[in-house]
Amino acid sequence: MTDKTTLYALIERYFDADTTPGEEKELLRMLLDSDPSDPKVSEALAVMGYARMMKKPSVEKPRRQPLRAMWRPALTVAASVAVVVLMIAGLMMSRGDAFQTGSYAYSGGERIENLQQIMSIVESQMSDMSEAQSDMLNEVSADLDDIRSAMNELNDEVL
Amino acid sequence: MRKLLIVITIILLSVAGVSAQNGLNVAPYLSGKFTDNPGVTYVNLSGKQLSAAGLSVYKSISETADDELAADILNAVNKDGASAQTKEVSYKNGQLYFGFYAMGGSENRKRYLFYLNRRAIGKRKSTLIYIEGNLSESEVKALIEN
Repeated sequence: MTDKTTLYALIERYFDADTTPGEEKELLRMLLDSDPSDPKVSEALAVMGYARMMKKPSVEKPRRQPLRAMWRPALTVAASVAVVVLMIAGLMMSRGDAFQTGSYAYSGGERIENLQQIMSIVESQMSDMSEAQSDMLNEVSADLDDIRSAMNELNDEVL
Repeated sequence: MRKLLIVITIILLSVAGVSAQNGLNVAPYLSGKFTDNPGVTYVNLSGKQLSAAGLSVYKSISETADDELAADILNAVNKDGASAQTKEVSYKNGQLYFGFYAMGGSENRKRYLFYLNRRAIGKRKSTLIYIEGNLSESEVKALIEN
């Protein structure tokens, strides 16, 4: 009884066009010795049977390329392109504005593309920051004045 | 096949470079992800409005009445502030009120953060501005003041 593991491995190699003529002969023998109701066996037999029915070439042809092997490079390229497209789409969706161009704003969920309105928002934000920054600098200045006053008082007491 | 893999890698690195431009904790809040939030005002400036002022990027987010978002932004600002090259901060009532942070960057792409938290003075609003350009710290601060 043919060992199934060896048989399946040889079938796989046959479909990958990796078998030698000797191995193909051995594979055919194993297939004919196996249960034809096995889907893998019947598939391989069908292909090999089809191949055997083809007319023998008068000149030596290059090794047969099974359909799966011929399409494999194209499938690999298509899969790679699909991965790139999906990753870029994912980045676009997660980044929101990653690939948008031109100035724009959102307020209350509504998109604003009017430049005057956008600049008005920017000016308001900068004004708030400027006020806070001035406020901070004024506090620092006031603290320094207090320190200066305290030092002067100390000097006066010493004198 | 190898050439295709190299091309794909270059494409992915380029796209990733765009996405990781900030590398800051505040980056997600400046990415436009919160524009659907009704309490959020988001600005993304580009083009002549910026280049005339020596800037390459201006992005900002303001929120009103979204305490959770405000807390997240504050947390991110504190984390980035910890690694700032220079900073000027002001606290009121035990909370960070104002922060200016110089985050470094290359010669023509210096990065700055401005943060204002009005919750520290009883108002439910905070604003974060991210600026990138070839301006010095004093020039950026002068830009804000003008």
